[in-house]
Amino acid sequence: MDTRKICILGDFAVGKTSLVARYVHNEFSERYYTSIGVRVDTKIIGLPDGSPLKLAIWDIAGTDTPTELFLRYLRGAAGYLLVADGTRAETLARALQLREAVESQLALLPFVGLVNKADLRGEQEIHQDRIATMREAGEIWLAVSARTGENVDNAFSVLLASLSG
Amino acid sequence: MASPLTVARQVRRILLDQVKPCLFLLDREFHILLIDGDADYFGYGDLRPGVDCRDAMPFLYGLSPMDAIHLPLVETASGRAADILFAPMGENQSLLLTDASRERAGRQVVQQQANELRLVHKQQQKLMDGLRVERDELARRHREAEELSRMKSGFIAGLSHEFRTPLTGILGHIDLLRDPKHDQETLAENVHSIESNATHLLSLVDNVLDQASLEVGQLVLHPVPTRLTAFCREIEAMFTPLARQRGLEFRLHRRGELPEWVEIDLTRLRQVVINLVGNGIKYTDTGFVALIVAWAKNRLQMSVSDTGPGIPKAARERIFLPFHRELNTSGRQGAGLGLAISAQLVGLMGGRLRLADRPGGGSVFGFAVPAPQVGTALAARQDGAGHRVLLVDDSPDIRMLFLRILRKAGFVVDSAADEPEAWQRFEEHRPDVVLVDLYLKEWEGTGLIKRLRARGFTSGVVAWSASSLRQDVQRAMSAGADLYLVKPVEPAVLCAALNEVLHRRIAG
Ligand SMILES: Nc1nc2c(ncn2[C@@H]2O[C@H](COP(=O)(O)OP(=O)(O)OP(=O)(O)O)[C@@H](O)[C@H]2O)c(=O)[nH]1
Ligand SMILES: [Mg+2]
Repeated sequence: MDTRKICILGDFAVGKTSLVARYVHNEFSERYYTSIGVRVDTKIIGLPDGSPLKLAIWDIAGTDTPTELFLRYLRGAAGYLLVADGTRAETLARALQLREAVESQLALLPFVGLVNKADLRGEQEIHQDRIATMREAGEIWLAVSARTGENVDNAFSVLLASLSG
Repeated sequence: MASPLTVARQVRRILLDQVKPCLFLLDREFHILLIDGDADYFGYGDLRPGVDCRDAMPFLYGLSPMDAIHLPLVETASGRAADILFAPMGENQSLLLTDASRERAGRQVVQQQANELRLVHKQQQKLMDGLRVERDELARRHREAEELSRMKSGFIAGLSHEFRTPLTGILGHIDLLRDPKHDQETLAENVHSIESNATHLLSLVDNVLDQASLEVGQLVLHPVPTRLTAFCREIEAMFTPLARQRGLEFRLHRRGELPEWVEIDLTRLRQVVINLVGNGIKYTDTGFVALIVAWAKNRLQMSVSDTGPGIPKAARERIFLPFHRELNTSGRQGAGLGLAISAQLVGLMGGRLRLADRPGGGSVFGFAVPAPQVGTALAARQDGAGHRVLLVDDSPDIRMLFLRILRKAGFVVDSAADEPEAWQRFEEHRPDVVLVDLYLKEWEGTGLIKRLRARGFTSGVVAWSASSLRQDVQRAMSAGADLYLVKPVEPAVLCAALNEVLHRRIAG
């Protein structure tokens, strides 16, 4: 079966583990348990042409500094989800730093930007204009919620669609 | 004593126990050739030579056979963490797993605490920011309230003066009237002075009451079909002589096509325009004051420009605030309410009063408010056309005045002073529309409206009263009135309102 390695990148506590848990197991927990290192989950999906595809999804511990080790985890990835926490504006800046490191030191991998915790409507710190500007620059950014599941499947589908080959 | 060899063996066992090394030899297709070590510890006890180990070890996806890589702290099938060393070995590849569970557990505790601390810190920051914003907002409101109260005090001081001047004038002229020796001419002069002082007093009172109503949000608009050209002529007739007296010119420009009839609160529109043009004339010493009227997309645009001294930048923010005295420093009269009321009325009508410099000197006040065009059908029936009106009002003066006005406008009018008389007239006169004063002696107009409706009177009912309080409007409307007018009502407005109600009844 065809396989693809994709990674989930972002600052700590933005909801990377929660997004994978929602996508793979349709589960969510309010509890925060910091990830250390990596955990790889798989999910088999049907492609539009009917053929199955196995996704190896790398949930990489949150970091604000892209070390050599961090980049090593990305070896062989076809693309990644870049996650920010909508209720903490600084996590967007950190996500963009991670992307910058990936692009300058590894490769121009396809990515989809996610602003997670969209369910916390009243607490959003990342402004719509900010997202709009990045979208105008041709990037894909989606508001998602691991808690409600809003846009989560869609986020993965959009990433898959942008992977080449 | 143990031999060195035994010690070395023991050390080796302890080390192996700690590190739990497990080696997999793989071919280029990731098929297992050989397993050496405790694979079960990492959850791979079921793996046998020959199978593709990536199914059980998805972290190997993405790697190619020639890669050499060290991946620390990878979660394995047993949930334990492993350090993974992947390297080519001849034709094949070696995959070495060593236990990293203890390291991960240790780091987890430390990292968890650190991250939670940062989240708490962030929460605190947010709370503080929120509090700061709230505090600033409170402080701002406090400053505004203080400013308003300061201005109000100054205003009341000024107001007592404003009131005293015309009152003194009135009393003085009354005194003169008491003198039995005056001739016809002085009598006329005295009466004229009393009248103009009283008119001025009335406008002061109106302003103060309007401001009070605006402050409690009780001022309600009463849009009526309004003839724009007639309104323009009225303003022109009012201000041309006034301007001339001050050596100024009053200019009226109509920009583009104006519709004949629009729906707008004529009383309030007039109030705003009179205030703006009046100010222009008051504060301009040479040159002209111009009123420009335009209409587009159901909005009425008006601007008043003058060649006066202009308004200093510093004063602009305050000029629309009630009780400001900016314009009064020159010692000219006015209570400092006119512009504030105008600004609020324009706001109520759905627009915004703006102030700009006039190129070449002077100021321009302008606004645009919704004023939908009303059909010519309504305009065509502007005369009373023999419609029957019953006027119920306890004031004989009002009855007499409006009997005359309405008759002149072509209505067939009858009147009554109280409810019993109203019923009698009602039976005889069979009106098409009843005009009811809300505050009648002894009984209330709303009761009459209710009883009219209860008896099956389906034609028009117009309520009128000197009150513009929202609850009065609501009371009258829920009793069954079609329209509510605030006294004093201009004759033209009353006729238009009656026609409007008649038209609605006919159309409905
Ligand atoms: N309200 C809300 N909370 C969320 C959402 N996603 C995650 N969380 C919560 O955010 C916290 C962090 O989620 P994780 O998924 O553990 O975050 P992470 O990005 O994996 O964090 P690290 O592993 O430390 O990098 C947890 O308490 C989650 O319950 C969401 O969509 N909405
Ligand atoms: Mg995590």
